[in-house]
Amino acid sequence: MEFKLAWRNIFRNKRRSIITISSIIFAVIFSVTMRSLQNGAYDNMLKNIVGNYLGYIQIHYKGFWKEKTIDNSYYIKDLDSLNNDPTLAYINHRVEGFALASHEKESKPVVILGINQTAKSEQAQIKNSLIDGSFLYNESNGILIGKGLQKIMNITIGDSLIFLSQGFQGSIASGIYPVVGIVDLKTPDLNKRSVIMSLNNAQDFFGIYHMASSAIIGPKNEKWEKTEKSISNQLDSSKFEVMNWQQMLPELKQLIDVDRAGGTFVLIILYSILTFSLFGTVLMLAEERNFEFGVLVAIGMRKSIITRISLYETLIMSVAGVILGLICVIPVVTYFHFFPINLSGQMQEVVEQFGFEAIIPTSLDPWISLTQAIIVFTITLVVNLYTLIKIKNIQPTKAMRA
Amino acid sequence: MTYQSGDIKVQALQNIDLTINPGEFTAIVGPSGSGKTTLLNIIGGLDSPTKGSVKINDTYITQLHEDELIDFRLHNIGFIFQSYNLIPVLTAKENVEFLMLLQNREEEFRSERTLKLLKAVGLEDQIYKRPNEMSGGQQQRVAVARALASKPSFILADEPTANLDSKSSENLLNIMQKLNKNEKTTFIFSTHDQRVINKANRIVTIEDGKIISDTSQ
Ligand SMILES: Nc1ncnc2c1ncn2[C@@H]1O[C@H](COP(=O)(O)OP(=O)(O)OP(=O)(O)O)[C@@H](O)[C@H]1O
Ligand SMILES: [Mg+2]
Repeated sequence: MEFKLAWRNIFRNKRRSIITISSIIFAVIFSVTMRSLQNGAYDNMLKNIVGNYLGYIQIHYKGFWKEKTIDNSYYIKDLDSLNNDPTLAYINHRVEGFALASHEKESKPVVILGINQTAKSEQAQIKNSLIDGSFLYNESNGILIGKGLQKIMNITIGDSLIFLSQGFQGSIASGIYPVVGIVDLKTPDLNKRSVIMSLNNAQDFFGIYHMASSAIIGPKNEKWEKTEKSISNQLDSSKFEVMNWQQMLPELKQLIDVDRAGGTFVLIILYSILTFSLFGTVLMLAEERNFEFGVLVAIGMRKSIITRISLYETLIMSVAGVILGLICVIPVVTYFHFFPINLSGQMQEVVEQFGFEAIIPTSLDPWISLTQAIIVFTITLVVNLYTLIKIKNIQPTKAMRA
Repeated sequence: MTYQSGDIKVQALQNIDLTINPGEFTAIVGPSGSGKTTLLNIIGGLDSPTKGSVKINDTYITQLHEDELIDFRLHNIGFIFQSYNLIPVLTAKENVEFLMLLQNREEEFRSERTLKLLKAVGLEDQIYKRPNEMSGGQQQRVAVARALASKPSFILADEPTANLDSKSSENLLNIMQKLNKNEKTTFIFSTHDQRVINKANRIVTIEDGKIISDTSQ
């Protein structure tokens, strides 16, 4: 009977119930869409720069990140034991060092990046950015250069560059390498000073045989924190430094944090609007029903029963609103996950300049829907506390005099 | 009984000593503001007196806690209000059945009694109508059926005919009278209406919160 009364009460003022349910639906749709877009954008950003280029986690010889010299290199075999770590998908060793590059009369400082060109994850990244020429082939000593560097030094494919640098423990490093391809690394800065060669050639050039300067760690799944912890536990912290992307790219972490905070602010405003609109409804309802509640108490209905009926009413409406909202929003979010929004025009340029793909796929993380649904649901319940207090204080004679 | 409104105290009732016996058909009469509603509210446990006590059967209801008092009303007192006060979302049948549901009565008992009562008030053809689909007189007759449904010891009715035209008033009073005669249902009602007063077999007159006459006829 309690449930029947609640159900009938909802249909008693259809328009108001529809408005209430609609505002809940709207809040769910809006908050879930917004959070999915935001988190999707972050995920994509991380996947691109962090996932492919920088890696979520890197291991270096202790002190390398602060002072990027060739002397701060480690022996690759010292990290071999990590290959047995189940939280880890792959390790790519890289050599990174500075050199002076010369071509005809031009000389420029460059960063030489030696990569394992046979590793799939490395190939994927570099091959995507190749805009001219060919990729690095095994056994060749060819190099790839950034498109900015190509322009400055006026290089065509097939030309050779001469590098001069300080090698391991003060030795002199020098060599001549033919340019086989041009890459666009998206960031102008990277394009102006990047040279990519095979890991073997880089080791030869710097005179660091069997050594590397950074190990890019691919975590098994999205929970890179777990991988980081597992690695840190295995390594001697006096010899190695384990860094995650947040430590390596504090600006990106900050950017995401600020953006997320902005989103939270917008959501708080949305929740406030929802709270006030629901509160308005609840207030009107409580006033209207006051008389009726008075009658019910007078003829012998306990307040606890009236409270339950009113709770059922709220529950039915908020559950309906939340479920309908999710039914509306989940297909939309799913669609834009598989067919991401393409940014165009200026927006696209700006985003690409920062090294990000100009698309926003939505995140499919079920936690987003769940948390937003719970928040909206909680707001509805909290707002209805007013009715409950009102019922508790009912005095039948007063209520019926109105 | 003293009401406090702001700084002003209103003595609505004083020195009331009244005993109602089972089977009586009592009218409480008196001018507006004399204390009729206050008296009925105190008898029904809707208001509590500043001094004194109310004893129904063997229970001092003035000593009951909130939920006990609500339960006491549910099982012992039937209420009829001036403005009907049916539950708008329930049909006539459901309105009558309602209190029996609160009393946890069996399904069979409920539907049998509901039909019997609606028949007694002459509404057997209106059982599926909601209050807003019925006239005032019909609604008040549903209210009488509802008041009887819980098998109360007596029924309190504060100006039950005030909102009704004379024909509906007469009809309602006849029904109440019949229930009083045939079923020995005790009625206590307040009224201004002389024709209603004439049907009572006991008339209690109050003025300024005091009983000034108490006659049986
Ligand atoms: N809640 C209240 N607060 C203050 N004074 C009240 C309250 N209720 C009633 N009174 C006062 O108590 C006195 C008796 O009121 P009551 O409503 O019992 O009269 P009544 O005989 O029912 O009048 P009517 O015939 O107009 O219904 C009046 O003077 C009234 O103003
Ligand atoms: Mg009155």
